[in-house]
Amino acid sequence: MPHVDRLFRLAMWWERDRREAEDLVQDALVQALQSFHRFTAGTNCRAWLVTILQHVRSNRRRAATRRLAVEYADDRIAEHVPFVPAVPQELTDEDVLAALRGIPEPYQDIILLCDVESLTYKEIADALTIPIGTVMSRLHRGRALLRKQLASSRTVQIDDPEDLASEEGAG
Amino acid sequence: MECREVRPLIEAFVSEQLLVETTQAIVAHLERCPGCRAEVDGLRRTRAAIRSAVETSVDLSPRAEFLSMLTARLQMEAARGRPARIRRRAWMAIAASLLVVVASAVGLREWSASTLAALLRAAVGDHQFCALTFKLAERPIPLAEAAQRFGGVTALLVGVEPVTTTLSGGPLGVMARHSCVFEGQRFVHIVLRYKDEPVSLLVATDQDQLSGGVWGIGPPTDGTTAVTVSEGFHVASFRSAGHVVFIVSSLNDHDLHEVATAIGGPVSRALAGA
Repeated sequence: MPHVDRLFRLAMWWERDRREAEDLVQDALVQALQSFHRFTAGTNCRAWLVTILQHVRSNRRRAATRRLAVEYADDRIAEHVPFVPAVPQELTDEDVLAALRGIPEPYQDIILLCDVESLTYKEIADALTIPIGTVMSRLHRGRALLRKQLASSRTVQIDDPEDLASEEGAG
Repeated sequence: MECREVRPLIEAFVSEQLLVETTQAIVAHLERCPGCRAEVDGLRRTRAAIRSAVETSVDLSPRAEFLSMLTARLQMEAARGRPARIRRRAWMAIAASLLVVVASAVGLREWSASTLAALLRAAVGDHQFCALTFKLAERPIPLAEAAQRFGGVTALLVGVEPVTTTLSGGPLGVMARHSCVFEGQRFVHIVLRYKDEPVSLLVATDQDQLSGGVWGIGPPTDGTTAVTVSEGFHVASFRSAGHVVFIVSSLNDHDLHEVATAIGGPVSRALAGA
């Protein structure tokens, strides 16, 4: 059941608690079953299920607290990502998961939906009920933060200086 | 394109969110720019590492007991107090999505209720929304990946190339190959470029042996290609080996006929399994 496996991994990442994640997935799939007449044939079924999962998750949280957290994180990150280090040459699963956990939650959400669920920007915007421009800006900032996290946990291999020089001049 | 134009687009490029034409311009830049190439490689590596880490993490995986319980719960919900028509539709659909009835077995045969005219409109729409504006609801799947997942027509066309010796207007190149869905109908979509115009080759399975319209039978040959106009685009089309083939572009009749002749033969031979 690949959809369920993927949904559960997402829920587990969000909730960090197996019981909570199981409740979340079960509630979301029951809701999907009951509202399947709203699914548009030919569109991405997984994106539709992720959207329902996210809605159920949001309903289980206190909306006001979450909104404040997102706004704070966006403002804070915008001011504090002046330098983007190179991606380490070797990435272990532990390094990657720890680095992802180390960035603010709104950026984790965007990166997971993009990289793991392979959703389009529009599908992510629909799932998280945010504008598509916010998806793109959070993805950009989230990537920068993630690279900073990865670099702080691993020894970064700096590219050949000649390559760095050509990076500036090739355009 | 230059580095300062490419860098802001790298994220969207790697996420395959750009127009085919923009993608090709970035690919051309990457061929001569090691700096941007390193950026793209680094981003691709990070994305692959994140995906792999999440998909293989034991801590994030569901318990077998939970999956059994969930299946039972969904079956119970499906059978509980709903109008029979909705209940059956919903259960069948959710079962399809959960148990992957839809994926490989059904593959490219999703449009049994279509008529040829509807299929033509969908092909033209796919060209417009996929190759020109990239507004598809679902991300296209690279044809090599689709060939592995679906087999059939995707595998037959994954390596097909146009015969370009007959063209008078310059080179005919392949810009992209993928499988995409437009309005519920899945196509093999090969985007070509001729005289600086994108040309879409769209192939769907002729599941119901549809008939009618002005479609030619077999690959186009000189002077015999039927060209129709739909939604402002010229469309050459023919049926071959159980498939319907559309070639859609803003090119005029003569140029489109040249392209159809150049690509039609190889496509027909590939569809026949030759």
